[in-house]
Formats: sequence, structure tokens, C-alpha cells
Amino acid sequence: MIIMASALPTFTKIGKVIRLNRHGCTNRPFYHIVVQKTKDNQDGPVIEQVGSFDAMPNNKNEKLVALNFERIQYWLSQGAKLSDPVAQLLGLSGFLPNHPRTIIQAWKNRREPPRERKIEAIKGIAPPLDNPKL
Amino acid sequence: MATRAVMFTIGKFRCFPILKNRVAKFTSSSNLLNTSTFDPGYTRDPSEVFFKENVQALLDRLTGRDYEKVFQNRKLGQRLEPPKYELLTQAEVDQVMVEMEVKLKKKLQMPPLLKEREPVTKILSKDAELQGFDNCKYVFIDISQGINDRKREVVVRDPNGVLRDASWEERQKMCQIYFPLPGRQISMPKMFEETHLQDCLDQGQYQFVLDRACAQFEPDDPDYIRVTRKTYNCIDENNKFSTLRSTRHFGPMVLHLVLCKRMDNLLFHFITSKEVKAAADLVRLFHLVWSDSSPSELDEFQLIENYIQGPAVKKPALELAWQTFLEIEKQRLEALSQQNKASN
Repeated sequence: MIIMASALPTFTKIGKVIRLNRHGCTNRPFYHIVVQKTKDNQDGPVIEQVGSFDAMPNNKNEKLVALNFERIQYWLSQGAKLSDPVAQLLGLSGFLPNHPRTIIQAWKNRREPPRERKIEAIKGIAPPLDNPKL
Repeated sequence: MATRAVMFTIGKFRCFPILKNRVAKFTSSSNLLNTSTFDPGYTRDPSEVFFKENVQALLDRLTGRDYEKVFQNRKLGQRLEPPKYELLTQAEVDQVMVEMEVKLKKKLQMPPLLKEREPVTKILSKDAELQGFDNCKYVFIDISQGINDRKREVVVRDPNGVLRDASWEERQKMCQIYFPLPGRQISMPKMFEETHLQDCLDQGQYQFVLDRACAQFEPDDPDYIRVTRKTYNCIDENNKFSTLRSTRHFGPMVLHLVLCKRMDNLLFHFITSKEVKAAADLVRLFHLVWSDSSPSELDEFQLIENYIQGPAVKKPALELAWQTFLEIEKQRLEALSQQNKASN
């Protein structure tokens, strides 16, 4: 049987992925949800931006997520993969089913609340700093 | 504006010297109208009435067409340009007038009177397994192109795992963040809070308040309805109807007053400024709104008299004004006929 080369599906080893690109500045993350080739760096060439995710809650205690569902659907149809955080966000938004990671994280948070770091004063040298991250 | 030719003259009657003492009587009788209190609002859905063609036509006629006022250079923070003067033939002037008419219609498009919107209660999904995944809520907006803002999907995932449609306030905030409209702020400006709003209205800034409310809110927003009703009532109490004449807000104000049954101040204003056509239109509008039928009298004077005798609330002041107007009319006609005789 003669098989023509054009009839075979062509695979590229470098796939496209929808993932979070960190922008913003130090201690203030802001993510762009982008479609990129897997091998490209986070700050490298981007095929298309399909949304944004603000990881810092605003004064109403909301985290804002913008998603271009039309374009995400298109890229998924073209075989793009999703990174875990993006898949979690899509699950939270109702576009996809709930991601197992979200469910596990929720369960862990309910089991024990996230540990608070207590910084003790060093006697005679320095009082505790206000910044809880240090 | 291409030319500055005088377009229309609103039929202003020339004041004869004999009539000056009559003008003083008008101003003293206006005190009769500011004493009583009316009920604050109405429960009827105004959109049933607002969108009818005959109502729209009447409101359009009542608004008036003062081209000078509509196309006035307003200080709204935009760059002002000096007027251009051009020399045109009559045909070109007519062409320009047609274009101006289209622009005028756009500027005088009335913001609709709607009833307050129902709060959003739709729940899309209840996922108890997601409780506690985060201690803040996630607000998702669909930023696909080409969707009307009112139909855009905005959903909220609460920390208790419930996925629901966003409330109207959340929805408007999100749409303004990602698809900003000019003149609109993300949160409500302080100007629309009660005390500050009262200050603005006391200064007489009615058109500014209404224009800004139009830019800031949707017409069925409870805040928009509160602000506009307060402004309309303030104008009615202070008899400042001429500030809104030939603006897009005059029509909705008139309809609001008719629905509240407090149009008598406005009728008084029309009679004292001798605008019989406008007064008759107002009475016709009253009949359309309250009895859903146009009255049978074709004569405008008869129409207004029947209203004053019948459904009017502030009868004494209106009767006085009407009688004074009829006397002036009679004297004017006599003077005119004497003039005609003298010239013949």
C-alpha cells in the first residue's frame, strides 16, 4: 500500500502550552496567562496572551482573573497543553472540572490552617521585624 | 458649526409697555406653588410608558430644539476649538442643516426611565469539597471580543466553594477595569453620596450631575434612579426647568413628574412663559400616561382649561396664571388688530 508523506500526521516535539508568565515586580506578582511554545523561556516570545491573573487580593478581598475563553478553546482544539495553575484557575471558573490539586489543597487547609511563622526577638541584639516574610 | 445663521426663533411674544405691570403679578403668584409636599415616588414601571412612540414624540416636542444651547462649547476638560466660518450657497447650507439634525438627534437621545434592576441570585455550582481552598474570592471575567458588556460572563468563586454569577456591582466594576468606558469611574464617585449630591444641587449644577450620572451608571442602577429622581425633584421644587430645556434630560424629567403627578409647577412655568403648545403637549402626555388615551379636544386652550378644572392638584395658582395669560392674549390680539387697522 502506498502511503503519501502528506497523509501522515506531522508531529512537532515542541508543543504549545497555556501557562502563567510572571510580571509585576518584587513582592508583587501579576501573571499573564499566555500561549507559548514549551521550550521558550518565561520572558521569551509569546504567541498570544489569553488572560491575566492578579495574585494579590484587592481591598475587597478579591483575586481578579481575566480569561479569553474563546481563544483558550481555540488553542485547546489546536492541541495546546495546560499548566497546573492554569488548569486550576479554569476549574475554579467553571470552564473545566475542578482540578484535583485544588481539592487536595482545600482539604489540607481545612485539616490544619496554614502555619503562621512566629519570629522571636533575639535577646540583646534586635527586636522582631514587622515583615512576616523574613 | 459651519454657519452661525439664526435657525429658529422660539415664538417669543414682544412685551408691550402696557403689560409690564402684569409681569410683576406673575412673579408674586409663583409663591403659591412651593408650599405643599408630594409623595416621593411611584411604584409603576416607567419603562411601560417611556418606550411608546406617541410618548416619545411628545417628549421630543417638549424638549425643544435650541441649536445654540445643544451645540454650546461646554467646559468638560476637552480641548476647545474656535468656531469656523465658511461661505456657503443655500443648497450647501441645507445640506449642513440635515447633517446637524442627525447630530442633534444623537445629542438629544433621552436616557431611559427604567425600574430598579433585580439583584442577581443565580448559582452555577456548589462544590463543598472546595471549601477553604483560599481565603479570598476569585472573580472571573470572560474577555472575549465582541460581547456586549451586559451579556459578558462574570462569575465569582467564593471561599466556601460556591460558583455564582457576579452581582451587578461586581460585574460593572470588572467590565470597567477590563473594558473601560470614558467618563466612568470604577467605584462610585463621592459626588453621588447624599451630602455631596445635595451640595451640587444647591449650587444649581443640575445638568452636570445628570450628565455624570448618565456616564457613571446604567439606567436601571438603583443609584442612577436615586440620583436622577432627587435632581428632578430639586428642579421641580426650585422651578429651574429652563436649565434642562433642549438637553437630553428634559424628556425623562417630564415623564418622571407626570408619573409622580407633580407636573403642575411645569405647567405653570409653560403658561407664564406663554408657551401654549408646550403646555398643551404636557396635558396630552398626562392623559396618555394616566388614561392611555389621547383626549378628544383638539383646541389647545380648551385642553389646558379642562386639565386645570379637572385633575390639576395646584388649582388656585394655575387658575390665576391661566386667567392672567388669557387676558394678556386678548389685549395682545386687540393691540395687533388696532395696528393692522392703522396700517391699512
